[in-house]
Amino acid sequence: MNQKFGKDLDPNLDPQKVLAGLATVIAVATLLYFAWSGFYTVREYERAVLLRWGKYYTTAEPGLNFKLPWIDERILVDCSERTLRLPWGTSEVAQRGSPLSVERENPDEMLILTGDLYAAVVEWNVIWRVAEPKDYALRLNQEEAESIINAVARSTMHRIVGDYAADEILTGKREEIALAALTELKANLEALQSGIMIVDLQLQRAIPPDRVKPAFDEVNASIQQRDKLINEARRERNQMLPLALASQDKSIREAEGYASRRKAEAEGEIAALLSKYQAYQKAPELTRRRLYLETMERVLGNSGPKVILDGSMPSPLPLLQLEKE
Amino acid sequence: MIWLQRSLQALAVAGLLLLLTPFFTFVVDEREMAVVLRFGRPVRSMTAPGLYWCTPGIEQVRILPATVQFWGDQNDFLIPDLPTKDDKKIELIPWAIWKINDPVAFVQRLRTVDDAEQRVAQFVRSAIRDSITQYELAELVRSSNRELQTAKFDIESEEVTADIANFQDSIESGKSEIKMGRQKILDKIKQDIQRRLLAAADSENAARGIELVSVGVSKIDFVASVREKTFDRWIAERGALSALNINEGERLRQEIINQTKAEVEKIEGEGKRKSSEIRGKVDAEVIEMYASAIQNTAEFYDFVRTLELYEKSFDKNSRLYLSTDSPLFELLKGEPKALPAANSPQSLQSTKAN
Repeated sequence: MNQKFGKDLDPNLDPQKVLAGLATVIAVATLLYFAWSGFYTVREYERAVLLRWGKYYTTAEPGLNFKLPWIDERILVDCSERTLRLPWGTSEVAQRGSPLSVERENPDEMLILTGDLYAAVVEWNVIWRVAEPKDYALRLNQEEAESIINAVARSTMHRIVGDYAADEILTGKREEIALAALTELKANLEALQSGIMIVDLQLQRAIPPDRVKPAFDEVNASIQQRDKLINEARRERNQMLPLALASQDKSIREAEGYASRRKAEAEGEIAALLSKYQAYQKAPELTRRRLYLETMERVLGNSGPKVILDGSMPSPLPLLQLEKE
Repeated sequence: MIWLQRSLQALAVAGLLLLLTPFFTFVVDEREMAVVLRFGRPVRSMTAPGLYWCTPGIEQVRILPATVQFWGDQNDFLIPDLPTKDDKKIELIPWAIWKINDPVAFVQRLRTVDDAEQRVAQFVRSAIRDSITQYELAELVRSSNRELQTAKFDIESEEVTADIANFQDSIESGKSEIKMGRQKILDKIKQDIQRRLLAAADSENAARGIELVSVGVSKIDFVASVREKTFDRWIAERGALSALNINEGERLRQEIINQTKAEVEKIEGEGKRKSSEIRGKVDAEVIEMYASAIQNTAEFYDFVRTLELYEKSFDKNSRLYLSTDSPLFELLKGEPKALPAANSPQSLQSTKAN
């Protein structure tokens, strides 16, 4: 074979030497190719899944790694934690820079039907990362991974919200819903054996639809109004009761005062009477006469005009009549 | 020197081999499967990864994905205007995950991944359409018989009952018993699609070589017109709740005030009662005291009190007409008799002048 090659070439050249030179060139090229395409770096947040002859061989850790050219194939997998903002399904990266522009894009999309057939706007974040680089790289198309998580996350949330009343979602049951959604999302993705791990699910806003919102605000206002009315009544009550108690106390104190006074007066009077009587008892006749005369003296002395009539006069009346005129 | 030459030669051969191998071998990796076609006729299929031979020029290799394929979950795939069993119009967005399980059947029946996706989409749509019409809306929305806790108020007691009746066609939910629930319906739809994918019209070449991994509905909603009605109803309901709250506030306020007033009356009445009791008691005591004192001193008391009475009754304005029969004037008549003894001076007559 070598001779044949040699004959066709320029006779001035030694075929042996040419062949050796060619071999050297090919060998160097091969070595260069090995070096050039064999070494690769895996960054700190990545893992590399290595396939040899198409079969899974190993998963390479971060650092400088070597693979056989052509025989080995490496698939880089980003294992960092990533966030999906739902229901829009935008990833953290796409979201950067203009966080609010997406929210107003399609408000219709955000409505989720509730168990009582109303609807609520529910927003939540799903934080995920690749837990099994092998499964993730080999069972999924990497570019579809986010779409799958979005779809499963939306379905899960719709299903769970569908089992709660709008009131529950908007108020008390948020925690319960978030937990149920997380559990179910994990289970659903595990069933796909996709190597994806859901790290967390955070329920963000859960609000009524724009059209119904004023009615909700009104209800809140009415609750405020109700509480205000009740507080007003309580205040009034707190003013009225002390006044009533004061008035009660006043009545009682007055009565008590009256009682003490009345009793004291009576006691005094009675004591006076009794002592006078005791004195009188010593000489009743004389005292009696004295008292009578003394009193009469004061009575007659203090009174107005006096008319003295003879006891034998038959009738004093005509006279009285005259006097009147 | 000879070993260097030998190893250089070996390397060169290896390099040449590497350059040439792509022409007569191919690698099927974990994410792929392959079918070898000889002039269009499938002769071999590879579902396991590895290095395989092929004859260049005669055989053609079709590489197919072994990974799962995703379809749906976008507004473009919305299925509009689906009637449920209880005749409520809804719309929903489906999605499906599928994969190729038999590459030979696949290349013969469906040819490309895009075509296969179209087929999956068709089956999903029609299976969903067929299933949805068999169930009531509540079954599709709910998953369990969990009792929904709605705002507590009695709608019957409100005037809005009439308003809400207008929206009757839109809803009554949470009342009927859920027999299936969304998850079970979806499972049934999945089975249905799977069956349809397997059983084709011509039975001799049954399989299509694809398998459905998962199917779901990422959004269920009313069509816009019904949606509006439910919103109207909701607003009316909220309005009723607001009115109820305010009325309740008024009622409670009135109740508190009325109760307070009653309490005030009671407190003040109690005061009056205690006051009267105290007064009555002391009056009674005083009467008793006087009675017992007077019992012992009856005659003296009468005498003294009568004298006091005279003294208090006559003043400058009184005009006295006195009869000489009075014992006071005994002396005026001449011979003094005795002054009155124990009996009171009855002869004293008086009138009050004006």
